[in-house]
Amino acid sequence: MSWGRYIVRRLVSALGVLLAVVLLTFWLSRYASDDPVYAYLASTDELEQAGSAEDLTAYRSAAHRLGQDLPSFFFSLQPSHYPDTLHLVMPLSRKLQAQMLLKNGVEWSAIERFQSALWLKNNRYSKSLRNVTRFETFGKVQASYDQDPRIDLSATRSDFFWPSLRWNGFQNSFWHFAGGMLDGNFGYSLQTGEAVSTRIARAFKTTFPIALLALILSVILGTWLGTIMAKHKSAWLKQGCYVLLSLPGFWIVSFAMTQLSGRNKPFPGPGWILDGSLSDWLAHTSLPILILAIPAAAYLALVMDESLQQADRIPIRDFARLRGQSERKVWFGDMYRLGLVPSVVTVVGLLVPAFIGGSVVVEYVFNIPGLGRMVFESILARDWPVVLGVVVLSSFATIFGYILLDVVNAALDPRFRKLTSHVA
Amino acid sequence: MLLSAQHKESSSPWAQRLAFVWLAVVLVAALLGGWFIDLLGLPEASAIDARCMGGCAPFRGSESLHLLGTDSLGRDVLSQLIGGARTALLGGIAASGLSFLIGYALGSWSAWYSKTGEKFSWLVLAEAGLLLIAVGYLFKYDNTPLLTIIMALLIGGAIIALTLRYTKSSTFGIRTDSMLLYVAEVFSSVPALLLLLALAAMAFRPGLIQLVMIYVFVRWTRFAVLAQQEVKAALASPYIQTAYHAGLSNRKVLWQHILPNTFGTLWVQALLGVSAFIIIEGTFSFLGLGLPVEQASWGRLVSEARSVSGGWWLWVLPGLVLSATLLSLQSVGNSFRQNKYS
Repeated sequence: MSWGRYIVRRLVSALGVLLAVVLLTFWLSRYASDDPVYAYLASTDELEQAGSAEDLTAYRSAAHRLGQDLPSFFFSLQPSHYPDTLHLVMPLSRKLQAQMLLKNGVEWSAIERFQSALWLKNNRYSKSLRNVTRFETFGKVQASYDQDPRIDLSATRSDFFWPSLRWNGFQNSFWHFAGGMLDGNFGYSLQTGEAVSTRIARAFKTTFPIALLALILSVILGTWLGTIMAKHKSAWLKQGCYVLLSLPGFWIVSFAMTQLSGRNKPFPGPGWILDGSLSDWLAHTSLPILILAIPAAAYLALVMDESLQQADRIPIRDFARLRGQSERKVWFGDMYRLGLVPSVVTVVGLLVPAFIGGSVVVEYVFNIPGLGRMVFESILARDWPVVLGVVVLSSFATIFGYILLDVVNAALDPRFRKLTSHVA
Repeated sequence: MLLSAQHKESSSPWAQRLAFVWLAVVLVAALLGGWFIDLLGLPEASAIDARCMGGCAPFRGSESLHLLGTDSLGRDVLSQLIGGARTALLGGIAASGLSFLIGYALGSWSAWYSKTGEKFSWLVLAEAGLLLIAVGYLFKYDNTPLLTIIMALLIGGAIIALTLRYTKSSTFGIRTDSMLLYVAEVFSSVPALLLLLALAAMAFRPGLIQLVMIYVFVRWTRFAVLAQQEVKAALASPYIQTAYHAGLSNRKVLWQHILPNTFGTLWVQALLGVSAFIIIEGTFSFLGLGLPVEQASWGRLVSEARSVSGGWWLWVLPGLVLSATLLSLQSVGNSFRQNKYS
């Protein structure tokens, strides 16, 4: 197999994995417990403009913009008594109630009559926009509404459903979501109403320099420590690295924030009010950078020590000395090439996604408006488009990072040129 | 390859003995902590001492003595450390054990069925998928008779078995081991903390059981991949060949040789999984997600250090407990590994 074919094969398999990630995240977001259209309306102040909440025009147009008025997937497998137009029932709480009644075998016409009587009579639009009742039970609905709209829901219950498969075409929510991503449109934030890509780009600009500096620092520190460890076989240094690694990230962050930052301490307190100068930026970011870099450096040092010791077992060092090479040349010419390439390149490849995850805690505590903090806040506010956008983009970066890693490793080290992929 | 640095680590027997003792202490605290709290007359972990609002330093209790001080809400730190042991260790054992079982079962299954290089026909996969959809479809409805589900399973199983019988040597298919690796790759390509956070925010009620389930959902693939590697290595080793030549049946080879021989190396990974759960649980509690506020947790205790100025006892003590537990878990794991190969 040639290199070209190998890379093409890896790329195709990566596309498959990416599709699976998008499917997984889309499926997860469908089970979120809030009404995204309502959240979007509230964020853009269109809710007040719409006048009374009974008027669903604003809701419908927002739902159309978010792709929420479409069937969820290319095909649907539903019981045959389900209507074709269930996705057009709005708002979400009404749709969920209809779904629940359908699941219990009630005829669609009876549900329509029941819901229009109930929802108009009780003015439930205004009440139920926000309260999505995913767990409303059939018994509860029956008990509370049987007397009022006077429709006997149990009369039409049937026991047996036959599935019917229906093709929805490209007008579906998933394609709206995934196809939009292909165009670079990740949807709209439910918190601020902005385009998700704008928010991600803005946060990335804050996170990227911090992560990059942390990465460079950890590589320099880790290589240095790893070399000392391997040269002097220092058990104390090694134990120190283990202890450092055994401290969880949130503890280090908490310790650094309470003990090292603030007034009369080496670093300024958490806060992100900058005057734009480089020195101010460095003063505010140096502690987060150190927190990210030091455990990573300890990890890198341990891995490097291990692979340098392995390199030491090969007689190459003795042979190089025999040829009269200086100790310096032995280390830089042979040992590093043998020990550095596999460990450092691989660890650096793995550190990039780790920094995305690790920055959540650091940015949360130090109030840095970066990717990690944005994701955390979006998760708390159930702003799914933003969360999905970051998840998909970061897994995209991870997958293609791995491919790049393999290629770089193979270019630097002939031992990696065996073209063995971990996926067949 | 990345963890190989930790594999070779050998610690002194003293450190190992200390690690065992510490883990035993934490386990006893987790199991009998409530009884100890009653016996010693300590305040309950969730009891609020109104006079210690804003945090009391150690030994400076007002009515009830707080040996290790209180957090900003006036809750006793010692009782919370004991209660946190329960959350961390029992949750960790449950989460790691469950993902270990699922991963071990699926990983060894995938390795076992790929040993001869046979492929599962795509037809079989499509049938299994349809069967899964059909059963899920039937299960959605509470008024579906159980008999229908059993019938669907039986008929579907029979169709799958027949297809398997006649498409065994199909080249148009996928091997079970690469099938599992594809699934594992999907999970490993999403940053784990992001996925965990998103899932935790979606859980309708925060709680330890929800956190355990989320952990299992995200982590089982790691165990599955490791189990697959181990079982494959065992299958390729000479003693299995010898066992086959000696006339042992497939079943005997699996139950008497492969599973006992791979279990030893894999359950050490389950120990490391416990420490991963402790870190994740701590991170979640630190961020204020995942667990209800009443539930004692080491991570939440650490986060309290930010709200009590000068509260050194709130980061020193939980930090010591946390790192001692995590180091001990690693040390104990290493000692088992050394015993196996020495």
